Amino acid sequence: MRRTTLEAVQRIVGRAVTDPEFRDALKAHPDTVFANRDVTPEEQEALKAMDWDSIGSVGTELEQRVSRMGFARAGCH
Amino acid sequence: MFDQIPFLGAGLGYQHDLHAEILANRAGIDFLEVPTDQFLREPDWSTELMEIKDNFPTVAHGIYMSLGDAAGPHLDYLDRLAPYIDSLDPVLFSDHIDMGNIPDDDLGKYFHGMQVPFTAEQAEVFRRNMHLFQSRIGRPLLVENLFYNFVLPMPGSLPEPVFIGEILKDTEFGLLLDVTNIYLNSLNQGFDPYEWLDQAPLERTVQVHVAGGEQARSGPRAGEWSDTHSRPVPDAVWRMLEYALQRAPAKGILLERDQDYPPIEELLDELSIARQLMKRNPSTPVSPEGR
Repeated sequence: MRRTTLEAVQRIVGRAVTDPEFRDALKAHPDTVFANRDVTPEEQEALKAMDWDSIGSVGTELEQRVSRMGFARAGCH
Repeated sequence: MFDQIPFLGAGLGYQHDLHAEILANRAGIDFLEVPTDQFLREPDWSTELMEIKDNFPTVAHGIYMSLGDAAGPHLDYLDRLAPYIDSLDPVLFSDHIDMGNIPDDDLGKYFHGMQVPFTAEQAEVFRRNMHLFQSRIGRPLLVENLFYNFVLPMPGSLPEPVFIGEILKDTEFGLLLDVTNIYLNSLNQGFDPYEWLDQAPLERTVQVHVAGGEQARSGPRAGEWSDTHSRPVPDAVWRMLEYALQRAPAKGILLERDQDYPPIEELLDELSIARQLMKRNPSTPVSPEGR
């Protein structure tokens, strides 16, 4: 399947939400993070403008949500 | 394809904890929505699965299909899921407008509910993945609008309801309209939920979700609402549902309650409210019983 910049954006966002070290790198050295990834300059600017400190807590919430649903409560959102 | 879907009425999200009560109260529950992932993880529940099948019309609901993943659909997961769907024989299958699996090999975690950009390219990814999914499952496929904690302001972003219209455009797929998700997102993100409904392709609605959420009292997200499925459906959501049903030809309204279970009678009362709203709405398909 053809790789697109969307796939790279998804990987960056997904990892930033769930990986604190990656998130810190994205905040401190975004150009280094983007260097090896196929994202457009416009997408880079949009990603730089995001409030990753606030979004970071979403990863914790996602983990809690999955944990809460667990095996017996694989509920649906 | 949706013409073949029967009228479903007012249903309940299946929870294994409530299995006995659900069976004991089947006269008050028109259909069940079965989270197929539960049975994928608990193969010993095959007896329960057959009891559900024998007593209720069912719809199947997934949370890990990751229909928005630009890396492609998760066919290995689908292959594992398919036997359970075949066993249950639901009238339709639904999953979310998300990228539930974070597509990064070195992370390898499965999450449900990860936000996607609301772009035309992303909508095309959904259509492509959904076509492949539906061709393997062979059942009507619905996608559900997501509860989310943040928005990705990517270049070319569309308003969410317009984006959903792009996903469904020129397809056979339907909408699972989660009214509570719209309501909670509107509280957290600060938009008018009725404007959202006005822009949405409600005419593609086949099924509806309603639930009650909670507001965080502490922590980094204090004050924000979460879609916890742990409280009664708020009046504001019932009002939104009544408004949406003027255009949404929903065949089923599904109450989600995943935790903090009240007495079953309270859930049945909420199903009665949903049933009444369907009954008095002109766009609701008529059941064989004229319900």
